Amino acid sequence: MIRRASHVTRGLAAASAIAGSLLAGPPLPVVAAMVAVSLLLAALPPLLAGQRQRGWPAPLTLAGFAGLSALGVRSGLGPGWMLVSVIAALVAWDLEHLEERLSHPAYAGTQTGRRALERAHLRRLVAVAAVGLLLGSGGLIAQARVTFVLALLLSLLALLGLSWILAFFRASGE
Amino acid sequence: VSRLVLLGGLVYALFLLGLGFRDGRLLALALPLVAYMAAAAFYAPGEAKLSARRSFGSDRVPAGAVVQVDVEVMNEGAALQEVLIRDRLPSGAELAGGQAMAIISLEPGEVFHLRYSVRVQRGSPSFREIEVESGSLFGLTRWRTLVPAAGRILVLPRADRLRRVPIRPLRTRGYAGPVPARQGGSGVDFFGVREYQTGDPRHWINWRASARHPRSLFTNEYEQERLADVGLILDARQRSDVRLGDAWLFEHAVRAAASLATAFLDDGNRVGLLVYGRSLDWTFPGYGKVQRERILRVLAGAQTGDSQVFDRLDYLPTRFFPTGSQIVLVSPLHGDDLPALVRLRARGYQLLVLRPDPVGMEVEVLRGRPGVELAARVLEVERALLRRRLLQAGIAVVDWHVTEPLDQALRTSLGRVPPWHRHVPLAGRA
Repeated sequence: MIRRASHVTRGLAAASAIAGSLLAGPPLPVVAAMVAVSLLLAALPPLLAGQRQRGWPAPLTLAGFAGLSALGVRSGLGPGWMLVSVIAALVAWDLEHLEERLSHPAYAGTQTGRRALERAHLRRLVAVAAVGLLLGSGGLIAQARVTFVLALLLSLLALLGLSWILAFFRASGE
Repeated sequence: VSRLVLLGGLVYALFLLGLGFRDGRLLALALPLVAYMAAAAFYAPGEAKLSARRSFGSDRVPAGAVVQVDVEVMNEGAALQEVLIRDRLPSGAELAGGQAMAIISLEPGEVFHLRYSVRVQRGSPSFREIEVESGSLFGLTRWRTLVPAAGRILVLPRADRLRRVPIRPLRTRGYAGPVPARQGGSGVDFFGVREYQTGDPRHWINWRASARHPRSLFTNEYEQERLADVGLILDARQRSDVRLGDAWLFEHAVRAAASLATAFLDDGNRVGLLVYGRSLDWTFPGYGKVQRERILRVLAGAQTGDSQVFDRLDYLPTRFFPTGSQIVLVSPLHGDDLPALVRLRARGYQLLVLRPDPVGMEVEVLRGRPGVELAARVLEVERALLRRRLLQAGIAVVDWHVTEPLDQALRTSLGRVPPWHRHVPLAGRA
């Protein structure tokens, strides 16, 4: 189930990026490049996983779609589609990691625990994806004019917050 | 690439791009990623506070037995999701059933039992701690801690059941037992004839001898049977050991020593043990089940080792054994061990050498390789020569091919040949 969901979300990321490209109608080379890279990002990781080159296909999905979306936004494609593409790639990336965790030998023979974990994880993931979509949409819709100093301060604050989160995980992790 | 590094790197990159291009849409693209990280940080579990207690189905088992292990893990902190509990198996213990790990969720105060079984080898495998791995929400990072859960199993060597081992020490103890005492008296085996004394049972009178001497009566004497002092010596020198894959000669020697000690003690004898290897591990002689337990515990921990001092048998501490007692040496023996054994014999000890056969064991493992058979034949000749010299010195020798039962080897080498088997005509010699 998890694997299928992961494939579906990766397809959704690619479809969203392609739809954004086609609907915007900017110069043909940009559209063609977006479509080609989206299809590649959607199809390549499962193929590589099938070749037992596990480990980097999942990060490739997320990093690839995030980079592609940033490029699309800068090229004038629909930012909403790009946002959906990033969120779908994030969900696919998470589900692939979940599937890897569930294949741990400690889960062998504990189908009940496995199902419960799957359900709980999907619930949380959907909630976080929804919050992310809301925040992202708000960020795209809301227009605010800020002075340079205020923008700098806000940026520093955001980067500090992000650094704090990373430091927290680094300090408490293994 | 760590998931956290990847996610953090992407967020940083989108932020920097957004700031660089002064494009708020790029910042908006980073927001879902930030929400994901924030949720993981917000719901991150606190420090895992767990306590663990270990128990065994039995903490004293024979080698090769399967032991049930139960690790009771209690959560003394906040609720934990998706915790991996993994037990570390010590050397000498291998998983025989179940799994030594589990992934669970634990509510505060909840207790979880990790149950599995292990097959243990001789020794005292010591279990120390369990490994606990818990993750943050979405598995962005993992916490790993070690929770102490000490426990130890005593794995005693297996002792084969042996019939009575025939020994004849020069001196015996004062109590009745199974060992022929080389003294006349009441017993089973005929010992001699002496003049009748008042009080002798009438059925002991040797009427045939008495008939030849009309004025005297003669009575039969029987050999007294008493308890004996037995000193067991286990050769634990590194050079006496052979280890090829799973085949380990020293393990067989330990099993033989355990079997002999059990047999001698069951007969009521006083038995001591000396493990001669890296050092001298001496168990003072004693009787009964307590002594058996002492000896088996020492054998459980016996290991081979090197020592320049004890490289040869010259330093066997004979003062540990009463003069005239029976010494049983379990060793494959080397050619240069002979003088030391002859000296022991000259001091009045009765010696029995049980030789586990290293050549046969190696041939079993190396069969088919070039030169093995020829080498085995040369070594067999050397062993046969050493055996002959030992026998000439009055030392009993039992050669034991470790794949055959020890009892059978002892019977073959030490047992009395029944009269009806003594003069069996060879086939073809009519």
